[in-house]
Amino acid sequence: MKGYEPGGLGPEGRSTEGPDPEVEAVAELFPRDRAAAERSVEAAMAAVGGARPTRRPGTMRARIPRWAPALAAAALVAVVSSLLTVAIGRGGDTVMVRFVLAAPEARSVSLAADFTGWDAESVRLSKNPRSGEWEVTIPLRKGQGYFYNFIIDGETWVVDPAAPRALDDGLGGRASYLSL
Amino acid sequence: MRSFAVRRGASARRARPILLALIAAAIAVTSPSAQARSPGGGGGAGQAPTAPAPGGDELRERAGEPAGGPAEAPRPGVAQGLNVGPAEFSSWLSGSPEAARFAGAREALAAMAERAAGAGVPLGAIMLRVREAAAKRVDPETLVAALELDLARWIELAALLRGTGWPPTAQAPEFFVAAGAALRNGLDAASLSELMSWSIRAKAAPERVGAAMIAAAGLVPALGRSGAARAALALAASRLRPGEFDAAAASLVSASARGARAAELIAALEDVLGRRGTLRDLERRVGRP
Repeated sequence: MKGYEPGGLGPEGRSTEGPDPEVEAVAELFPRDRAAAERSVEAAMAAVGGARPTRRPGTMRARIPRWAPALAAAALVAVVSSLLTVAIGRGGDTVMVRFVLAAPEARSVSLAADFTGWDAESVRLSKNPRSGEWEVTIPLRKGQGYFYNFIIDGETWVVDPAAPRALDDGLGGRASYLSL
Repeated sequence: MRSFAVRRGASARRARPILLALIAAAIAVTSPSAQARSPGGGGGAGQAPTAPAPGGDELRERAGEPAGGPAEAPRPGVAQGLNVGPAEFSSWLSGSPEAARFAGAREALAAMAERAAGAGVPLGAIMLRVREAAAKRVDPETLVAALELDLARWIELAALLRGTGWPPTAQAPEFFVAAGAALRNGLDAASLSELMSWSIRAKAAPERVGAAMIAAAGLVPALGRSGAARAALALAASRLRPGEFDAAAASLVSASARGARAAELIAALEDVLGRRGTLRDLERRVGRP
């Protein structure tokens, strides 16, 4: 590759020898000055429809620093650990419990329980338009038991037919019991 | 351009495992939430149309957004101001809406509270029962009669626990209410000394002991009172979750209905659970319900 004139596409350098016939032959085929080379590149890029390079080809670099993967890994560990912590905090000691009562004729159904302070109004069930059942989903803590009743139309206290246990409440009725 | 393309390809290859790890992390993060909806034993009611109940033990915890109700259910006890002394109880009795419903029984309730405090029974347990009675629109006479029976059982239970520091004050009201329900539904306090001694020694979670007592109360017809008390201890000391207690009790009731003798069932329960066995181990031993 020796014999290229300064300003050519190759590395800069000046030959001290006489003209080489082979080099001369190549020089006939390829332009030897910068302006000609850039025109050639523009013509080639226009032909393929690509973007015109904005920097000299020899200086085009998109270096990824060696520390980037390590930084990405550290960020990943931080993100994952924080997300897992949030997930455990949210899901570790509570469980979503869906209470469902089939009462197609009811106008309203609510839930009263020890975890609501036996407030008969605070937890209202919604009627599922597809199944016609009344339902509500409540987060409850694991590891303990809960007493509850359904209240139909604000008046009739009933036990949950699907609950594992219904206990004598000592007050003339029964209460459902659920342990998690 | 070629050099750039090669380098970009290399960075893409490097980034691919990171992207995969991020996707895996996202899946891992969503999984615990989903699992939190599915484990446990027993629960509410009916069948959700899109999320069938897991397992065969009438699990009622399912995925799905709340159809209504509060965002977070408050925990009974501290959150509801149940840890009160005699002065606070007296103030509550004379000023709260639920106690006002029983104005005619105020003196009787005050007298019961005095006896309860003297015996070491948490006054919050009385408050919980009054709240329940008020919500259920029970008449004052029924409430007083029910509370007299509860109080007699609570005093007997408190005698086994006096001076031990167990259950901790924060959990005492709910424990006494749960224990009172278990005693009302079959267990007797005289049979519970071993369970209470173990609970004190082990510093057991009162919620767990209460759940074991209630599950065991359902075993009284099959095992008798002393057998049920032994079952309560076996359950409380086991590795089972409280949500599995009812399923364990159901397997014993079912085996009893098939003709198994009480002594055999108690021995099987104590043997399996004493060896840190699972619910499945117990069901293999005595049969599924």
